[in-house]
Amino acid sequence: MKHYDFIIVGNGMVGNKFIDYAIKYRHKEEVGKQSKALSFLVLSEESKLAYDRVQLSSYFSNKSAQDLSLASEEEYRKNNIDFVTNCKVLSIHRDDKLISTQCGQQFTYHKLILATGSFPFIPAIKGSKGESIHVYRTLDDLDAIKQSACAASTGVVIGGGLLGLEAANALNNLNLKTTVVEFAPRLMPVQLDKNGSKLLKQKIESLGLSVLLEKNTKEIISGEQSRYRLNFTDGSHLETDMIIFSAGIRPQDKLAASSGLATGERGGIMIDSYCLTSDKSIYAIGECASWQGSTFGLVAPGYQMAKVAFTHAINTLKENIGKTKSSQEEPLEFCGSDMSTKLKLLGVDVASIGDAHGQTENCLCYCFSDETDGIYKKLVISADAKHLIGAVLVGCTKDYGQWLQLYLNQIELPASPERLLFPEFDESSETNASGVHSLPDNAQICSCNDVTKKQIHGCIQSGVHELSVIKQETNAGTGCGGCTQLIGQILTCELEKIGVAVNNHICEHFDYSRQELFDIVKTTRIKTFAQLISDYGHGNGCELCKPVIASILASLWNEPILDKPHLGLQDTNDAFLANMQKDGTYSVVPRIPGGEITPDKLIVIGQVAKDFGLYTKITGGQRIDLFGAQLHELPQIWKRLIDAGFETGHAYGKALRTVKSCVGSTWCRFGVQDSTGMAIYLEQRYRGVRSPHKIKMAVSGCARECAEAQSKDFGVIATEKGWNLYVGGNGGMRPRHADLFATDLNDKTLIQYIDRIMVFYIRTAERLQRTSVWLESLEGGLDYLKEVVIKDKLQLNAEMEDQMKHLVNSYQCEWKNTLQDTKKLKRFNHFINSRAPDPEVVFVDERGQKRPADEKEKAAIKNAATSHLLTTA
Amino acid sequence: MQSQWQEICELDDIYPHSGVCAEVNGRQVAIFRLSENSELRSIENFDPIAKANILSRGIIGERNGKPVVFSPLYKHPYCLDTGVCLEDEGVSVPVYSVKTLEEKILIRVK
Ligand code: SRM
Ligand SMILES: Cc1cc2nc3c(=O)[nH]c(=O)nc-3n(C[C@H](O)[C@H](O)[C@H](O)COP(=O)(O)OP(=O)(O)OC[C@H]3O[C@@H](n4cnc5c(N)ncnc54)[C@H](O)[C@@H]3O)c2cc1C
Ligand code: SF4
Ligand code: FES
Repeated sequence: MKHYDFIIVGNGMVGNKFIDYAIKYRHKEEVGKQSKALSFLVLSEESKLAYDRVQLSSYFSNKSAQDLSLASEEEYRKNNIDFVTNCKVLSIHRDDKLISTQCGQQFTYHKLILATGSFPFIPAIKGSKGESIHVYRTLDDLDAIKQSACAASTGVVIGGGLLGLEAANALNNLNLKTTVVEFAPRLMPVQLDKNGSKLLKQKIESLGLSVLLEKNTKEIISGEQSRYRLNFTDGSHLETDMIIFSAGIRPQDKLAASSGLATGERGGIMIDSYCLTSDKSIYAIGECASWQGSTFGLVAPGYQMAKVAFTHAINTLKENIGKTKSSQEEPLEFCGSDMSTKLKLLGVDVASIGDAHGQTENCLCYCFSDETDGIYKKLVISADAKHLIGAVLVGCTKDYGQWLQLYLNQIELPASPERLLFPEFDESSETNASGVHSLPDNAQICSCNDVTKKQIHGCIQSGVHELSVIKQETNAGTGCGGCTQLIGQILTCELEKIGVAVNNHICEHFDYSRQELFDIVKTTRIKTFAQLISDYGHGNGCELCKPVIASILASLWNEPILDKPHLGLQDTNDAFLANMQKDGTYSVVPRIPGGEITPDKLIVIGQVAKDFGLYTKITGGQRIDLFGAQLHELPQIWKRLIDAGFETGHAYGKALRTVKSCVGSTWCRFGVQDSTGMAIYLEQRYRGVRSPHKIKMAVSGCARECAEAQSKDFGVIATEKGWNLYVGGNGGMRPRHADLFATDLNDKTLIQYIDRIMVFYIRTAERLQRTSVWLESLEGGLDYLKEVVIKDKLQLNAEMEDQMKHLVNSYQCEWKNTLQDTKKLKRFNHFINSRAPDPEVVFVDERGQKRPADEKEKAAIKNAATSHLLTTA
Repeated sequence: MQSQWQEICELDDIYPHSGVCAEVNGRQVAIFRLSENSELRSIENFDPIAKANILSRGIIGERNGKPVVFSPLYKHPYCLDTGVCLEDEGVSVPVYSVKTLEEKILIRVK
C-alpha cells in the first residue's frame, strides 16, 4: 500500500491552492538543501483537475474548460504530485491513517487535507429530481444544462441569490425565456437591502428576465404546454421546460462526519485557527470547513486557509525532524474572513460590504438613489459616526475599493461621512483622507491572495514601477481582479512620493515627456539629437533619451538611422541592423510580406544559409530567421539577399514587424476576401515606420481567424461586406484581445483608419508602450480613439494622413542604403584594426545545424585544440 | 615594449557616441568616442556577465554625470572611467589608456 506525506481529498480551487504552496515550497527548499522530497497525492471526485469555479459562468460565453483550468496534469507530473481523478474517497480509518477510495484503492497518509468543498442544496420538494432539472456547480453541470437548453424554450431558476442570478443569466444567454423564483421578499437577500434589491430587480427585468418574489415551490409536476409545472404554496403556478436549483450550498462534510471528526452545528468540519480538525493529523480547508461556527462560501477565505494549513503542517513536520524554530516558516493563523463582495450580475454592478442591512445597534445610514441612472448607494456608519460598518452599491461600484478599505481598516471617517456618497462633487482634501495613502501598512489590499499594502510598497520600492510586474511579483490582483484599481492607486501614490510620476520626463536630460518632445521636434522641425539637446535639454544624453529621440526623428523625418547624426542614438540591435544573439553573433530576418514567398526566393534563402553556414528556423511571425551570422558577414549576406529582391525585415527595430496572413479567398473554401493580398499590401505600406514599440498586424480571410488577427496591434478580419478592424491586441507577456474598432470597411477606409490610428499612437504613446497598453491608458479609451479617428474630434486627420504619406513615400531599405556607403560598412567588422573574426565565437552541431557552444563545450574544444597543437609540435 | 602607445585607427573611424573593438596584443579592447571631438575611453571588450565579446557594441549612457556603456545582451551598465559594473560592484573590467595624436587613436595596454 502506498504511503504519502500528504493526501489531499478534493481538487477544487482551495485544494489546488494547497498544492500551489507545496510546489512553491519545494522549489525553494530543494534548491537549498536537497532534503528528501515530500510526497503528495491528490484525489478528486471530478473528472478534471482544478478549474476556476468563480468564473464558471464564462464557460457559457467565451471560455473553454481549458481556459478555466487552474492545474494541468503536466504541471502536476512535472512537480511529482501524484493524482487520481474520478475517484471519490469513501472512508477514513483514522487509527491506521488510511483512506479507501471508490475505485478500491487504499493509501496511508502522514497528514490528510480535506478540501471537499460544498454541494448544492436541493430543498425537499416533491418532483425535484428528473431530466432537465439541474444544479449549478461544476463543469459537468454546465454541460448538462447546455444539453437540456437545446430542447427548451423556457427556464426557471429556483433561488434569487448570487448564484441563482448567475444561473439565470446563463439561461438568458442560451436564449431561454427565463424566470427567477425567490422565496424571500427580495433578490440577493443575504447581501442587499430592500432598496438595493429593488433596483437590481428593475435592472434585471429590463433585460427581459422575469422575477417572482415570495414564491414557495410546493411541488413540481408535469406541465401542459411545457415539460414541467411548478405549483407554489400560494396557489399560483408556472410552466417551464427546464429548472436549475440554486437554493444555497451546504458544506461537504459527510466523509469527515462518518469517520468521527467533529462537525459544526450548522454543518462543516470543525477547525481551529490552524485549520486542524479534531484529529491532529487532519486539516480541513475551504468551503467544507467550519471555523467558530461559520462556513465561508467564497474563495478568498479558502485560499487563506490553504496557506495557514500548509504552513502549519510544514512547521510540524520540521519540528518532528528536529529542525530549529528559526528554519520554520512564519506561523499563520486563520482569523475569519470578510464576506464583502463585488460582482457584475447580468451586466449590473453590485457590491456589499459588512453589515449591509444596518443591523448593528444604533447605526446610522446614508442612502443615495438615482432611479434614472439606476444607481443606489448606502453607507452604514457606527453610532459615533466615526467608522464605516457596512455598505451597499448597485449600478455603480466605483467606490467599492475605497469603502472596503475604510471598513476593513476601520479608518476614521471625515466629519461629514455622507460626502463619501458624492466623491465627484467633493474637491475638499477630506476625500483624500480616505485615499490610499491613509491606509495603514498592514491593510490587506488583495484578499484573494492575502497581499498587504506593505508588500506592494516593498515591491515598488525595490524598483518595480509597472502594474503588471507588481502583480507578478506579489500575486496581488491575480485572483478575482477586484483589487487591481487599488494597486494602481498605490503605485501612482508611491511614484508621486518618490517623484517619478509627478514628472513624466523621459530622463534627467530632458524635462519633457515623450509626447511633448514629439511635438517639439515636429513644430521646430529639428532634425538631430545634438540640436534638440542643446536647445531643449541638458548634458550628453543617455540610454533612455537617445533611442526615444532616435525613434521620434525617424517617425517624423525618416532619415536612415545609420546616418552619422543618428547612429550613436541607436540601441544595439538597430545600430547594426540585426538582432544580437547570446554569443554576440546576429540573426538575419529578411522581410517576407504576408508570409508569401516564391520557391525561387526560398531557394535563395536556403543557398545563402548554406554558404554562410547559418542556422535556419521558421519564426512565429511567418518568416525565416537565419542565425549565427558574424558581424563581418552581415553585409555579405545582405548583399546576396538584396540582389535577390529581399528587403530588411526590421526584426531589430521598434517598427512594423510582420503582417501575418491566412490564404483567404484565393484558395480557402471559406475565405470571403483576399486576405493574403491585403496583408502584403499592409506590410509594404507600413514597413520601416518607426514607432514607440514594435507593431504587429494580421489579416484573416474569414471569421475562423486563422491569422490570429485579434492578438495583434492591428487585426483585420474579412467579412462578406469588407473588413473588420481590431486594435490593441497583444500576445507576449500579457496577452490582450484586440478591441473591435470598426466593421465592414472598404479597402480605402480601412487604410485610412490604420494610417490615422498608427500616427496617433506614434504621437501620443510613452516609450516602449505597445498599442495594447497605450489604448488602456488612453483617457477615454476606445471610444475616444473612435472620436478622434472616425469623427475627427481633434481635427488632426488630414495632418496625420499627410504624415503617413510622407513616411510611406520616404521609405528605403536600411540594408540597401547601408550597402551603398563604404564608410557605414567599415563598422561591420569585429575589429577596427584587423579582418579577423571574433576568435571566441564557437559553434557545435545539433540536429544537423549549428548552435552556439556552451561554456563546457567551449572549454573542451579549446583543450582539444591545444593538445592537438602539442602533439603536432 | 608592451606598455607602449600603439596606433589603432583614425579618430574618424569611430562615429561620435559609439564604440569599436580593436585587437591589441592579443586582447580585445573596446574604444568609445564620447562626443564630436576626441573625448575617448577604453575598456576590455569582454562582458564577464554575458560572457561574450560585445561591450564595444553597447549604447553609451550616463550615470551621475559619468559615462557608462550598457552591455548589449543583458544591459549591465559598466562605468567607462573605472570599468566597474554599476549593478554588481563585484564585477569589473580592465580600463585602458587611450588618446589621440594628429587624428590617430593611440592606446596603451599594460
Ligand atoms: C524569432 C522569434 C521567435 C521564433 O523563433 O519564432 C522571436 C524572437 C524574439 N522575440 Fe519575440 N519572436 C518572435 C515572435 C514573437 C511573437 C509571435 C508573433 O509575432 O506572432 C510574439 C507575441 C506577439 C506579440 O508581440 O504581441 C513575441 C513576443 C515577444 C516579446 C513580448 C512582447 C510583449 O508585448 O509582451 C518580446 C520582448 C519585447 O519586445 O520586449 C520579444 C522579443 C524577442 C527578441 C527580440 C528577444 C531579444 O531581445 O533577443 C527575440 C529576438 C529575435 C531575433 O533574434 O531574431 N518577443 N515574439 C519570432 C520572430 C517573429 C518574426 O518573424 O519577426
Ligand atoms: C457559479 C459560481 C460562482 C461563484 N462566484 C464566486 C465569486 O464571485 N467569488 C467568490 O469568492 N466565490 C465564488 N464562488 C464560490 C467559489 O467557487 C468557492 O468558494 C470555491 O470554489 C471553494 O473551493 P473549495 O476548494 O473549497 O471547494 P470546491 O471548489 O467545491 O472543491 C471541492 C472538490 O472536492 C471534491 N470532493 C468532494 N468530496 C470528495 C471526496 N469524498 N473525494 C474526492 N473528492 C471530493 C468535489 O468534487 C470538488 O471537486 C462561486 C461558485 C460558483 C459555483
Ligand atoms: S480563414 Fe480561415 S479558413 Fe480561411 S480563408 Fe481564412 S481563414 Fe480561411
Ligand atoms: S482581491 Fe481578488 S485578486 Fe486581489
